[in-house]
Amino acid sequence: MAQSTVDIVVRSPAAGSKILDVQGEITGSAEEALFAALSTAGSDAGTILLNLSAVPSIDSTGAGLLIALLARVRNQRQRLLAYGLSQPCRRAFELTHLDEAVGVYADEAEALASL
Amino acid sequence: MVESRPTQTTGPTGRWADPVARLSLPPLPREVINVNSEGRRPTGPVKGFGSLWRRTYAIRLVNSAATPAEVIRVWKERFASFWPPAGRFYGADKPIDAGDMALLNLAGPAGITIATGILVIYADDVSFCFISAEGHMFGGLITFSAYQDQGTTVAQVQALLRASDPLFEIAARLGLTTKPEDQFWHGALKNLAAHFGVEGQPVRQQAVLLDRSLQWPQAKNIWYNAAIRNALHTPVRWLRGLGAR
Repeated sequence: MAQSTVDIVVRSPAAGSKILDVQGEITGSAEEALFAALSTAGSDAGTILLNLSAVPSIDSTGAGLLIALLARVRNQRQRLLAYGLSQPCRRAFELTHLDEAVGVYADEAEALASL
Repeated sequence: MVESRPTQTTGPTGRWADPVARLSLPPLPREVINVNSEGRRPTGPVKGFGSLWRRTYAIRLVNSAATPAEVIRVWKERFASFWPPAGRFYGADKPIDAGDMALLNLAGPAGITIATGILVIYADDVSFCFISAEGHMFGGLITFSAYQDQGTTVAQVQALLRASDPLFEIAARLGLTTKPEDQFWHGALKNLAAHFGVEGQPVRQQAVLLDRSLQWPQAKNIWYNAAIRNALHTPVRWLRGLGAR
């Protein structure tokens, strides 16, 4: 398997929510790291927030991974939010319609205020 | 003879398309069936109805010196020529790039030709990606890529798919759309490999069910179902053909 292009840290900003701080490029090689982070976050949290402010770029396979991640989150009866999108990430969200299924916010404060 | 192309970009340094609300197809030959395609909105798996699958097809270009970037360059330039007879791809007369739109004519049941469209949403040196439009049998995101594995270049098609509507989901569960889809990409990859002088290599296939659930709010997609619309249009086309004689 190709070496992962992302590092992900999971933290708890508030009760009932988990933030996945993603750093690096989201490509197909990020699959293991993304889903491992989701497992670490657990299914108890009602909301999963993707912090993408340290993600400069994403390719189409990476966008596909986020679609798969969204399906997993929904199956766990959780909400998926994202914030800090770079221009490539924003464009990927628009073209794949992820922006219609994932709550997208400018920054962490705005995302947390929506909870 | 494969033209040498030394540059190879690793990592996502490609280009995303500008968002478009509706498909606007390039000039098409007169004989092409263009029903239910022009003006349709790009969709994809987020807006599909059925279970979410990831279907991956890959072929190893054994004993070929072609780099992943060379494979993708040729694939972009000659994409339609690698399609098996079961489908026709009508795109712009240039190498595939982000923002391109194209019409597909696919062989359907009972001799019906299913016309539908795609938008190229992303392209870089080692990959490019289509998203399907309303009416297509799948809400799909299909990435065509090439990479190195143990010194051999591998060409791959990876499709993230949900059947677009309940009718297409039933067809998928019966294998009526998935089996032809599998055969189609097997054929396309073998044709691509043959261009690089590679014959007899198997296509490795993997199908992974990512989400069993159905997205019932998307059941309304059946309004644009390309099989229904093309079937209804077929007698009209026959009558027009008779009238033109």
